[in-house]
Amino acid sequence: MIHIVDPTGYAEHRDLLDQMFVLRAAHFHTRRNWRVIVRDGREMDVFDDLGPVYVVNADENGRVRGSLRLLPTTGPHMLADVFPDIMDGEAIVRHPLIWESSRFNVDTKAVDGWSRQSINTATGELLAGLFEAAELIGLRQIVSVYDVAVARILARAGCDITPLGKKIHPDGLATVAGLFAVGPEVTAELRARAGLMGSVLAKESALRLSA
Amino acid sequence: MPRAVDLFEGPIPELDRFADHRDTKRCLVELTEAFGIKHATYLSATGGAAVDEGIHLTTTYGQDWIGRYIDCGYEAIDPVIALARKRLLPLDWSSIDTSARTVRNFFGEAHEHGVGNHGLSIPIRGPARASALFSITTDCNDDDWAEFRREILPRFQIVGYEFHKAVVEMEAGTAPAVAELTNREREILRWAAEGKTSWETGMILGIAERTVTFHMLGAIERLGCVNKTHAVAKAIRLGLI
Repeated sequence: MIHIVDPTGYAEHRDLLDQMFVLRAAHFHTRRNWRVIVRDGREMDVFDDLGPVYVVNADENGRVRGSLRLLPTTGPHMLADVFPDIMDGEAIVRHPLIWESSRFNVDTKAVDGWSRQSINTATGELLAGLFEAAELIGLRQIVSVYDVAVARILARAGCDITPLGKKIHPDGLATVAGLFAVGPEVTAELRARAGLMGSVLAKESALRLSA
Repeated sequence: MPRAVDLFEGPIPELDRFADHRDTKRCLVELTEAFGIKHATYLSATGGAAVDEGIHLTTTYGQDWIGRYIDCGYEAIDPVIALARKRLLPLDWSSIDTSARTVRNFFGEAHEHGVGNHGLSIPIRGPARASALFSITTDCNDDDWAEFRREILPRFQIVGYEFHKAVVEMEAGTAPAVAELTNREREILRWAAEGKTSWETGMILGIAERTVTFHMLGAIERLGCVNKTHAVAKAIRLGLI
């Protein structure tokens, strides 16, 4: 089940978000050894202060197993403010219908004991939720910066990606950017590969988005 | 009856340069006429120290409703204002919780003043974190509204953002900076001026169609335009291509 949480829903979904920040610490700091700031066991950065929209995958018991973060490119975002070198001299693109996805993570510990297939399902479900939400918001494209390992996961899940700019190596980590198609074909492909029959959005999230 | 004018193709009101509040008002009136809707409102708060510092309001609402709203201190009750301060996703007014009597009465009175029975508010996020809200309202039945809203939501996200940029520039007293284009953007606009599609331009330049679209959208936005036709015309007028 995918929850779409914007600032009007932060209070209501406090527990989901708290689990998300804990899992982000485990994923980005402990497991992948990124240089991120962890306080009280939670990973947060300046972009979390900007009221982003979180896409959170939680099981039926409300246990979080993956998440990502969305910000419009019209405001501060990572490609413009942290990784502008990727653009290799090209202008930073800002547009109200292009948003950036960041902090993509699916926690393998959270799906401990699951088959490899279930880990893929958790990934596919998260991405299906992201693109379903993107369609409802009316986005034209999604842009994202990630390391090459994640690029493979995204492609395997069924994302339609065009590489953007050049590869850079902050902290020795091969980092790239991609442009993601948004539309019914992409959502259908993600669902098919994850074995999902229809919408993965929580009812309340779907209502909030089509509202 | 609202009309879903195709912003990505047809002509649209000029909203890349405002001299004063008459221009902002005229622009909103033109938009309501083009889309066949009742009202459009732009409200921004730059977050200054004083409560009313940096607040900009342009609206097509009638004077009687504006007067009533101010006299009754409705900004404290108006749920759209409360939600807009922190929201990032568009807000359909029909999803607002009207269980509180004050809120029900507020919307009842708004309706009596001709605000319209349906409304949509689009939060706007600028580079400097200034936040703003662009709202439209109209009278129509629920089915027509649902279809109209789906069609025009992306268009008003663009219109709202460009309107916001123009207001920020107007209030800063700076003439809009002449946009500088990169070589790639110039190439893409030049081929668009020749009537090439993004796919064709991609073939010519040896890049993906999606990359062409990405840089095109960036150029459109930086030129203060809302669609490709508009951006090509402006780039030619400014001698950029």
